[in-house]
Amino acid sequence: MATEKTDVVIVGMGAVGGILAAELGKAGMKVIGLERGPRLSTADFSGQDELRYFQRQDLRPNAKRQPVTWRASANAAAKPLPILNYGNQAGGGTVHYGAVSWRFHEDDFRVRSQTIQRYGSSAIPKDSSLIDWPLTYADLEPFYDRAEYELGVSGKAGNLEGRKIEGGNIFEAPRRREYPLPPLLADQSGLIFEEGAHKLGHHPFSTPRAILSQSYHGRPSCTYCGFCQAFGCHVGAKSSILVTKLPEADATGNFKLLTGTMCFRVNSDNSGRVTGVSYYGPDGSTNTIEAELVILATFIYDNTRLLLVSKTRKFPNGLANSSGQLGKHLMAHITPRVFATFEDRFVNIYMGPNAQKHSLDDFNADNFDHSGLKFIRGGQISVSPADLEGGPIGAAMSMNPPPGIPRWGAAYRDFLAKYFARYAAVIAQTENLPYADQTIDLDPTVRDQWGLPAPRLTYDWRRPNELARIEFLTGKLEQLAAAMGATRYWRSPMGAGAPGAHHEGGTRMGDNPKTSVVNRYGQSWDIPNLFIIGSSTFPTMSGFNPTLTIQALAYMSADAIVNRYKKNPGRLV
Amino acid sequence: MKRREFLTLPAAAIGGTLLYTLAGEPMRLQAQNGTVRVPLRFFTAEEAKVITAACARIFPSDASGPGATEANVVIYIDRQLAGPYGRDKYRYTKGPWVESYPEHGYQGKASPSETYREGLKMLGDFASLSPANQDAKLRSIEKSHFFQLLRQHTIEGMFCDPMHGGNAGLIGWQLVGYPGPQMSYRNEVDKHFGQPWRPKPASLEQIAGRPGKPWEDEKG
Ligand SMILES: Cc1cc2nc3c(=O)[nH]c(=O)nc-3n(C[C@H](O)[C@H](O)[C@H](O)COP(=O)(O)OP(=O)(O)OC[C@H]3O[C@@H](n4cnc5c(N)ncnc54)[C@H](O)[C@@H]3O)c2cc1C
Repeated sequence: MATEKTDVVIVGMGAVGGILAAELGKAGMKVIGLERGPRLSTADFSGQDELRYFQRQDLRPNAKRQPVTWRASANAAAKPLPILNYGNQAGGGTVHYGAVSWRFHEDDFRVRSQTIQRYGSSAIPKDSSLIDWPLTYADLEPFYDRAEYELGVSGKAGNLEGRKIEGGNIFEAPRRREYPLPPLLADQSGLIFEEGAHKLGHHPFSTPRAILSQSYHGRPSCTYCGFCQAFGCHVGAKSSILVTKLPEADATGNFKLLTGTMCFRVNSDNSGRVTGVSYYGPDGSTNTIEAELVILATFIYDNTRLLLVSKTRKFPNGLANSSGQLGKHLMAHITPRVFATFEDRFVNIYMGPNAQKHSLDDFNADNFDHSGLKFIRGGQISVSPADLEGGPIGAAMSMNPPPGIPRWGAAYRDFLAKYFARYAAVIAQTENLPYADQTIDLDPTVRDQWGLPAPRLTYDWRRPNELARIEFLTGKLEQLAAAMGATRYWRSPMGAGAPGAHHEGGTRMGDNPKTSVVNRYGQSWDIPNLFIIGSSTFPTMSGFNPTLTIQALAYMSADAIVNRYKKNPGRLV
Repeated sequence: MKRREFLTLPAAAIGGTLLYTLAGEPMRLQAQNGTVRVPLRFFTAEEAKVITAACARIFPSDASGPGATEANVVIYIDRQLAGPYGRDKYRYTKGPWVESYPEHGYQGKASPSETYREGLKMLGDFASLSPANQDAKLRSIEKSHFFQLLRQHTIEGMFCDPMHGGNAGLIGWQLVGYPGPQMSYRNEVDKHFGQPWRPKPASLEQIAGRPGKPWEDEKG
């Protein structure tokens, strides 16, 4: 049992934790980072073994020891999910992510008012807890810019200070300058996607990714090996926190990383402040850190769970939860897919960065008119391998064979033999609305390896608005597959409601302490020296992947802590 | 300790002697005589024969190409079942053992190795049935957890890196036209538009220039 004192303790060293560690360390604050996983390095990723990393998910939390349970409704019994989609080592999810890096649209920050203004309040489902963000795109733009330039993102601008540029995403929000790096080369699937999309009058472009198209800040450019999503990058061209912010944090001399440490409680006294955290060390010991400032950066499950298990007499429903909003409004992307095979051409889709290779944004956000449609919002559309991973195990396991082809036997073998190098998947990633009854709480029976109750998700996307949106987008995917010249295309089955990738919500941000857990900086309304940062604070989720927005928010919080909170440690809003 | 069991295989099945033409025609190079005896870790020789026969119906070998038998899928499965995976290293195993939504995956009590012991009972004298009767047998158990695993493992054993015991001679990769875990396509990614690109596939060991060990063995 050890006790240490520091200025700041950051729990979780992923996308969020790494940025705060580097920025606060640079400002002279003494920072201790707790990370339950190990710290790997680029040299550890020399053996790209599909079985190990994709199929057995070796870089992700182990479902046996760190279970998360899910049920579709409050009446059902929750069971552990077999696969956990977030980080489990220094660098967190950015070590094995696909590195797709978007800025959200302007209207993504004001979905409620945008919807009411354009379609009237009756367009919002009665049971949805849809709200606007407590900040605008313009507030976040400087931090998007910083994240893109400091981390290294490749792409082409589609909207430079309001000027639309063909070839980039013309629907994107205005940016002050070009991306720091030109777009990655398009692979063959990207080129046929582009051709098909143009035929339909859409606006395709190379997906912006935190992968270096040229050497940058001493790191080499991408080799197009195709091992991104689920894998660590073998040359360090993926701009993960491991190769960007952690070295910066080390260089400050103010940062200490404790790996193999599991935070199990946020400690507080009765003065309305937190005093630090307790954690289990790698040897199972119980230890305490006393800190002036506690930052939770553990992804949505533990951001919520740690507050729930740290309840006190003052906060009987979870620390910092006087609003009663803690654990509510869980959201996740759902990804309808259409598989396409080609008779007359090879596609060789295993080449090149493998997540959302080429995209279009025509049916995302409020980029199209929803009048007469039975839903609001939309989804981002892209071309990818079957499960955003290029190898043959991934293709075989994730792609249901087309109607008429059995799942095993000679005809199945021949199908794979002929089409592995001649297929592409077209995928939509949909924005689903927040609902208060989609929640994270503590599982009453399932416990993790440390004896903590597992986070329990109650969630079902199969609601009228979501079903209509998915049907609409799947129709667009089919049109695209046909326009791309596919000889055959077919849908992937949709499942029974479990949350997909990219989870959001649980510690909602807002501008009212009565209806939200944190303010725009991730600062707890109840406890000013407690910050909770990450997609758990998102009021709505956008059809875009979340991480660049998570990182921009982390930069914004760091800026507010360094320039305002440090001098005057009280409420920032 | 149980008696050491071996699987006897034609030497040609071990080590890169099967190649494919672009049309998917198998070409046997330097056909060798003789056999190799592979020590088994989980199955008995008898059980390995049954599993080999079952995998051969999932990914058959015939005039149009080789399949699970030539790829040594059974050795892959044998290694996996004998290791941490076979003992359920990746699954929450404290109950309550109630099946629910498909997204939860299998929620029963049996570990993969236990599931195979049960599955072998279901398969019975499978190896001695005619191919048509073998297919009928598999169809009758198609919904079982055992069959789901067997199918998954056959795919894994066909397409995994050969250090795991399957994909012998890289025939799975040759079959589908996958070059293996190449470390760069920088010179390829924007070329070959619409055309096949079929270099000789390479395994991790060949690419890294040193023998690879499955990570599960490394950790013991
Ligand atoms: C396979 C995959 C692909 C993805 N691809 C993309 C993509 O292309 N684009 C995109 O935008 N997003 C992508 N994501 C999502 C992305 O990884 C996350 O949005 C991002 O990593 C979240 O950042 P975070 O800092 O909140 O959490 P994480 O990065 O997950 O970091 C949290 C860290 O906290 C640690 N931790 C958790 N609890 C505790 C505790 N109690 N004590 C100590 N440590 C703890 C964890 O081990 C982890 O390292 C992908 C995710 C997955 C799983």
